[in-house]
Amino acid sequence: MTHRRLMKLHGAASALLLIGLLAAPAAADDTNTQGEVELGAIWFVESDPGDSAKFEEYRDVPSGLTLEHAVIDWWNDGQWHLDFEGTDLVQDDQRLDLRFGKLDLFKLTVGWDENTRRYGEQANQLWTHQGGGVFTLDDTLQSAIEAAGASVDLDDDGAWDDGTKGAIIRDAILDSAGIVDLGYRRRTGDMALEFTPDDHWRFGFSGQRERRTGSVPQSLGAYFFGSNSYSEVAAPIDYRTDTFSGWVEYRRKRWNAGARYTVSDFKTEYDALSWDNLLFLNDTPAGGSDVEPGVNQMSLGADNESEQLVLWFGANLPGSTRIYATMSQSTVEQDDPFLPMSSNALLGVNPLIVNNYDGQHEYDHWSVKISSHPLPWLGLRGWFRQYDFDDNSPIYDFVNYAEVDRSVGPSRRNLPYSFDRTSFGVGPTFAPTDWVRFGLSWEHEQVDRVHAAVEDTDEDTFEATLDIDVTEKLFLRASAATANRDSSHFDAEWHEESFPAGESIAYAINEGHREFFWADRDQDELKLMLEYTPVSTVSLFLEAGYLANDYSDPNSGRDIGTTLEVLEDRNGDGVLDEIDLLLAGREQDRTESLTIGFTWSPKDNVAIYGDHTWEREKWEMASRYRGVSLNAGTDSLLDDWFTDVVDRYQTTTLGLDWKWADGTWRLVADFAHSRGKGDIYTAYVEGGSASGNTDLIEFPQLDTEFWLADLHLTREIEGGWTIGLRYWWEAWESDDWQTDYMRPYMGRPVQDPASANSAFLGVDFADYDNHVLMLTAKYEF
Amino acid sequence: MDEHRQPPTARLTGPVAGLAVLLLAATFAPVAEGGRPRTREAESWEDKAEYVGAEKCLECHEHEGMRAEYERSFHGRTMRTNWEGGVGCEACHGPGEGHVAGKGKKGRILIFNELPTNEVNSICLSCHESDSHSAWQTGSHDSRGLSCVSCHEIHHDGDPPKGLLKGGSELETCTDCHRMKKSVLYRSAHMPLREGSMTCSSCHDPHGGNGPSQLIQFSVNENCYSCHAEKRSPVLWEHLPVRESCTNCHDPHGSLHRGMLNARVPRLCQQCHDEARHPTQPYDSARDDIFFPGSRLFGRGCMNCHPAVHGSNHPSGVRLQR
Repeated sequence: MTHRRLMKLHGAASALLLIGLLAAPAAADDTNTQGEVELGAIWFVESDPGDSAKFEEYRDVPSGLTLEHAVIDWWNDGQWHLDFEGTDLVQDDQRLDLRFGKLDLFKLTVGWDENTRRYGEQANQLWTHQGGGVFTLDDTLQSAIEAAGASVDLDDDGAWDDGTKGAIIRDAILDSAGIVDLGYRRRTGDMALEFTPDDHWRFGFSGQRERRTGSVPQSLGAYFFGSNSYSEVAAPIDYRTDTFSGWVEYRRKRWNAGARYTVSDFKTEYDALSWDNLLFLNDTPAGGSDVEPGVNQMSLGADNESEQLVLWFGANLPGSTRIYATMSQSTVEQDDPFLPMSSNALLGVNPLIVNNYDGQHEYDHWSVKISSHPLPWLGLRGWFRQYDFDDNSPIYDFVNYAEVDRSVGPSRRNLPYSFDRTSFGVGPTFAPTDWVRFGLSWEHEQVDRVHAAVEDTDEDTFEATLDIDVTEKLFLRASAATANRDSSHFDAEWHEESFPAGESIAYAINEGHREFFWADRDQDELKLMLEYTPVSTVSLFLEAGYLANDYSDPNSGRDIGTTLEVLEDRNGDGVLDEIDLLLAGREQDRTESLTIGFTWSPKDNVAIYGDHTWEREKWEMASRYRGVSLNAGTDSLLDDWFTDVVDRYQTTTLGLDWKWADGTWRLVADFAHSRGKGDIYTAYVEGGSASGNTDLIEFPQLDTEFWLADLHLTREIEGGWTIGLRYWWEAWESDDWQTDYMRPYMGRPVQDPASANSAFLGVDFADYDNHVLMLTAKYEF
Repeated sequence: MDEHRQPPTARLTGPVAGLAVLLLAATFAPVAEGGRPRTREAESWEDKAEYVGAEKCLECHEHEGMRAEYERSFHGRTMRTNWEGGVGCEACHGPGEGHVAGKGKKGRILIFNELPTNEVNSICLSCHESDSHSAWQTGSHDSRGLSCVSCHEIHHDGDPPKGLLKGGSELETCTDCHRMKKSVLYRSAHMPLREGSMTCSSCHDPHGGNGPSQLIQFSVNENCYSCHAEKRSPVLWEHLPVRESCTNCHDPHGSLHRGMLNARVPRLCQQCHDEARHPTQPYDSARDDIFFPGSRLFGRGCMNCHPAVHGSNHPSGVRLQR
């Protein structure tokens, strides 16, 4: 048992003792106490690997003694009460809740919650964290890499030749990279006090501190040319979020109104990282005005403060009519100082025009909803909603803009993006009998944007619903919706506004590209839930869903993926040329799912249940390779390529709940199996050579599989004791081309020359196969 | 501070005025006595009948194990009355005089199983219509004919679960209808619901909510920021689809891909980034006769070079590289 768990055990025992003392007056006639404490002992019968990060991605499953669960409820006839509930009390995913108060007058709640987040079994880091987010490399290593020749594989053995930069980096990763622990713990403590002095008033306040400490894998960005690229470190995190709320509500028979004010303060101990360049010990001239940086830097999250005021009001009017209005005004601000434009002292960039970013976001929302049942067979609904997101941050022109710490690039301007979303709609429902109801609704939504390719979007949604409830026989919920989204005009070159002085090396824009969330869209959606109970012992259910989105060009009306002919003078000869422009982007997507299941209770003491779910999510996309640099580039049909991205899932669950011997014996068994497969299919046009490549190699299939079998046998014995034996098997396997080659990653010279300078952490989740036995003893009092 | 910047309190003038108008309208509206209506059929006998007290009810209903349950439950112990003055059993079931006089005649007491859903809800809301429950009647669960007792079981034999939920736990209660959401929990990348660190109500408010899909907060992003405060900060170089909705890239219910991404990188990024140069490469890694992921595909793929994908606050972070 670790020291931390031992401390938690002491803490939990002390807390229980304290609660017991508080509840001691239970001996008196007018008090009542009840609860339960469940202790456990866990053995890993088989565990492969021994400390699976995926198994404990979000939880702590220790080997040894545990305090699984503790509940204490105490109350007296004087309306006082104290309730405590704790779960996993000596583990790193413990949850504790304490409620104390006087019924009808006040309630104090105190909570504590921990959970873990792990990223992989092991990570190897070439850099050393010196504290404060500063990562350094051994100078000798840096000098050796800098002095070594370019990475080559002349002997064609699939590895960088000895003595080259790539070989030195590889050897350093294998021989001297330190092992670092990747993951963090989230700990949240909260307290709230609420008063309800009479039937009308309710007011209170709460406070919460959330802390996240540990590390996360952090990519260090690319710096092109000679600078190191594709590198990772275990970036330290120390987040602290403090939140305070106060609220008041007044309620009468006809109406209620309330207000809540919340302030939240987020602070991070690490708002930036800096690290030694893998390839250069010091800032080094690289020819022309370019300079290789010896140190790189990046900014992480910024400290920020948020405040939110929410008002709500509801009124009950004749005809079972309810009007409900809410208003919310939020502000998020930050003014963290900027890092220097460049860490490269030789680059010669001017001082920044401002030292910090005075950023502010505003979220304003208000809505009014009306719901009425004026007649037994008629329901009416109407709603209006406005949601504004305003970025009030300043706009800066960075004239002396440093391009990747190595060179000075064209000036840049930030474009604070904002949008307003307004929607309104109506919907009657009809209930001709007490077991069937159908409804219709229409909603119109308008979105206005600033600094976006599309400034105005309108969408109309029509929906029909059918609900059937035949008591204990048939339950059905069905809906069909169709929506049409129209965008006013798509300006593919909208972001050129971010070049205040124009871009001297303008990369030609693909005029045909259309972002899916701005393009026109036709959407159809069907949903069905059905439960049928032919006899009291058997219930069958089905849930199905279908969602289809088809995207088209706001300007021409043509479908994405089709070709548009435009007249442009691409070669500058003064003659307009016919250019076939592919409308690129997401063409369509489909989401389909079906669940079927059953419950069967042959006797009062036995229930068997299970279900199976099929799901498929598919995107179809069209794209075009455009290898432009200093000119407009070509738009050859041979550069077009298309891709389908398909994820499929199948999940089965099966369970048994069986009690016998007057309920003193109980067996609960659960089984689950889930498999997810992901495919990326790519196709070129006939004779095509997108990216100059004619030999298409498909992405391998992603494949993850999960098994769970959980058998829990309990036996109630006298004196309030229940003894339990639990066998728990869980396994997970994954084939993932993105991470399976991670340890260590030095690429394959023939396929990826850029991999020579890579220094990944090598983090990955190992497959696991765990067999766990648990013995529990529960005492109820 | 810029002129266009105002604290939330100052921006409320208009909405507060609107609220005041609504409040006045509600106060003086010709509402029948009682605010929330009770059952229409029962109104006549309800108005005439007298309350008999819970002890009288328990004289007959004790055999159903009601007494022990009643005496330990908050519903049984509260001294608060509904607007008509009913307390205990009769706060929900109406005055019991006629029922007692009729020796248990059913037509003289409110029985939830026999009432239309909006009338069941009215009974519960006559006490609980405050805070987030205020939105119930304008929420989607109500519009689809669900009642409070679709999810809550008021009378529990034995230990009552939190919130008197029918399914025992919140997850079981929600997935009793939303079956597919249960299967999503087993996906490789998922929120820690299966592990017990989150519940459905961490994000959704089944009683109506403020945002789309009955989210607690007023938008998807504000909902996500309530746990991921590090993502909410304004930054110099914003990534537009991030600010519009986190769900443009993430599926919060789970996925096959790390970070609960909607699709595998690079295709996730390429659905928008097909302007020019390297984002327009198909990245099939065909440099040999076998597939081997290049360093632009490894690990986090595009985010290997563009790690500040949620926005960068570095002066030279326009390409979200730092």
